[in-house]
Amino acid sequence: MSDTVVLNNLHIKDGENTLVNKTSLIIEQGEIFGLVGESGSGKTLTAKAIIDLLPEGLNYTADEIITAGKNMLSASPEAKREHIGKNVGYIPQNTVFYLHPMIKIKDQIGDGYIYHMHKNKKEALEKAEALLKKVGFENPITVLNYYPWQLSGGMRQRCNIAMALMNDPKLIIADEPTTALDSTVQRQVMELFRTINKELKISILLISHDLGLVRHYSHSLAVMYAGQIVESGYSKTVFRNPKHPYTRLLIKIIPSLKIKKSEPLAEIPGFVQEKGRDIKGCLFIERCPKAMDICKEYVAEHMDDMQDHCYRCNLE
Amino acid sequence: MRKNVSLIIGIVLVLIIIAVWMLSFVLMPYNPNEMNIPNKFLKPDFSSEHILGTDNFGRDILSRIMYGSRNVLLVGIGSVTLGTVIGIFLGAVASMFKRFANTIIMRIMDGLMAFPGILLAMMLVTVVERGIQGSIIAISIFMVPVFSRLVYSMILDTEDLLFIKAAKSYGSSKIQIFFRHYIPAMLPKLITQFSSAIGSAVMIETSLSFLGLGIQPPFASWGLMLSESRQFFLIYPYLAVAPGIAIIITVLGFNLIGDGLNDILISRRSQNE
Amino acid sequence: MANKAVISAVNIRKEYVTKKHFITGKIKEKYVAVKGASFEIEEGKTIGIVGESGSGKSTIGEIVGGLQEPTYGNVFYYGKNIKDLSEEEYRNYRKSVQFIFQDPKGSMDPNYKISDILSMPLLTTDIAKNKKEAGKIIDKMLIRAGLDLSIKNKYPAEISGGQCQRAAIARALIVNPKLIICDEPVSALDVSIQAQILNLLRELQKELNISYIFISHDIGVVNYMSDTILVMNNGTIVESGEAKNVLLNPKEKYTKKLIESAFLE
Repeated sequence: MSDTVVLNNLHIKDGENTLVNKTSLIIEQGEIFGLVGESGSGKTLTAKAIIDLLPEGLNYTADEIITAGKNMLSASPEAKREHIGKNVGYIPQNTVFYLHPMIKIKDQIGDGYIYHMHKNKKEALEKAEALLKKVGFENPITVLNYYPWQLSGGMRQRCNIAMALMNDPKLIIADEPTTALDSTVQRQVMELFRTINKELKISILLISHDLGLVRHYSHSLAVMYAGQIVESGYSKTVFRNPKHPYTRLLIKIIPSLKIKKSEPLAEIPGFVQEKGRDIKGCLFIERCPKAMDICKEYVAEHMDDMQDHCYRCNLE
Repeated sequence: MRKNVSLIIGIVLVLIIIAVWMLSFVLMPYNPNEMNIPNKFLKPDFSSEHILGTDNFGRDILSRIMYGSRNVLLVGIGSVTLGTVIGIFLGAVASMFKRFANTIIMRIMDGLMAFPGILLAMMLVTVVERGIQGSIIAISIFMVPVFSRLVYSMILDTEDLLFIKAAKSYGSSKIQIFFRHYIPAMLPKLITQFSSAIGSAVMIETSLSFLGLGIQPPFASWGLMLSESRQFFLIYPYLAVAPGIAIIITVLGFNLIGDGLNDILISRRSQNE
Repeated sequence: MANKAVISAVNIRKEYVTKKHFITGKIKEKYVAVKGASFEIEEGKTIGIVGESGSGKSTIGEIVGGLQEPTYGNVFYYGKNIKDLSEEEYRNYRKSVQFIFQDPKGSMDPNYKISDILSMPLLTTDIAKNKKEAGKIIDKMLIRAGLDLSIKNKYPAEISGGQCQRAAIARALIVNPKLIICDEPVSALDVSIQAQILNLLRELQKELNISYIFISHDIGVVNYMSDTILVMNNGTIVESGEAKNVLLNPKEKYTKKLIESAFLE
């Protein structure tokens, strides 16, 4: 069973400033992989590096980037573009910006399909109709004739998902897909992802700042802080036994019915630092409730025997 | 950071003209209107008393160029300023009254814009008197629709922004909100448009003078100088060169500044997203 | 002992005209955003309004805060109908009701520094006569909101979403309001920052005895912040009551749906 994504030692720099540091992850085929972190943690940049979509001006190096079976480091730009276009679907955070506001859905949903799979418009529309039905629209033909502004946020997101599925991709990258949506719609969209993953066996990279969401919907996950993965592994394993203080704090703040109103909510004081990420010691030291002196100089990297739970921390 | 070539060149050119303008008050070698028939048609000679030569009436060309810069800048900047102020007022009024009033104002603006600038200016000048005042009024009327439409659409854009709602929520009056929030939001585009408009205004002014509808002889104006040089062009081509270059430097300079500022605006906006 | 009611809303109804006859002005089509809402807010208490987008919750907030007028119905400020207030009383009412919005950066004019943004309400309401006076009050408020004073000279684009929202809270507090209307104040923030902001709001309420209207689509967050909850669907209040009761014993199907989406357990 080959892996959908193999990323080894990704390093992204913006001039002198390191944005992503020594990041490695493996997405197995057919699994939902959650990449969790606050804004500024580098999760979006990591995902973009996997599909060669990093903005200009950033330099990146890596030991290995294999996306959907293709070695991204050795391929030419055209080959990369074609491979990504055919095999990866990208669903953005902001539902509005991805669809052309002046064009009806039916005239844009098939673009990638027609171009990469060499089909004609009629075939594209047929497939679009089937996919729109699959993502939960009862009247796909009506939706095809709408302009994006006639749809609600949740509906637009479902259109984005249908569009991403047109080429039967091996991998879907969903970047904060539910942030701009109501909680009821969030549920709907996440269940849709789960269905797609189960029925079509598509791997999904789910990027989110919400650990509660990721816990519920992912098979494996990685927690990023200030450009580095601080803990990763199978979701069940990590949640049963979270090792890194940051992960533990994130778990604590997941909302639940059991919250006591008389007490303040668990919070993580401070905020993610933008600069100075190149240090040898632990980046979480300022906000860590368990910081020790040694954390300034050195961070131990742990990897258990089966490689399904890794973390970077000096605590045992 | 990509260097903004347009802006730099534009600023240099405009500074040249401004320098000429300033010098016209202190260092003008001759009276620009003083005729000196015995010395007519002197060729440009950097070592002589008349660096750029003399025209068909013996008048010093350099002095006439310098004097002409005063009119050009007065009409160019004056008309655009007048047009902008009226345009802002009309645009603001139109945005305040939805539906009927704004439709009327905007359609009148559309009508005015349908005429090519020079044609409009010519028509207006026949109604107003010729000369500097007439040029300023005519050209500013041409500028009003451009600015009023710009202001109108910018006000509509800004209205929906959240910080306007926030300003209302702590009790700011409409006027306070307009000056504190709308104007700073509109300023970048206005300045850019202002600069480009000066380029157009200078172009129209020189065209009017060329046609004899602007500044009247014997006063010096670059357009007029070009026009007067036509009769002698085959024999004394240098008569057209000085005013021609002066016009090009001015119009190009202001247009390039406008372009350069626009580039900055666009790159700033794409950075913010 | 009943606390005084800062705001009473009685039968608020808001209609928007979507189609009007061009000449006669006769209304051909209208959209009803709020269909008849009534509630009361006591001093120092929080009323939560929960519902999906388009349920009318933000509209109610704006009507109570004076940013919009109801088509029908009345709003009472300390017992007096706001339509009947004198000019000075009306200004006082508008000063006493402040807002915090969903998009922290959008709610601040990007052309001004934080210190200027915070001084504007002070100067507008004449609490401070000049920038110097305002400066002292601003410093105090920024610290109270958990910000470092170095933020005064920054522009909204230069600081994070969480810091911006704290500055927005400072701005709302700076005129000593009695009621702050929080419209989705944490929805645009990272989950880890949300807790910080919510804790701050609760502390401030205890310290300053401020009332809140807390509007959100997330019933979990609303429950934590509120004493009473109104559940809105399509412009109508479908369920209301003490927060604890609504959450543990929801009566309406819609309420149950909201609860299910908020807690994934």
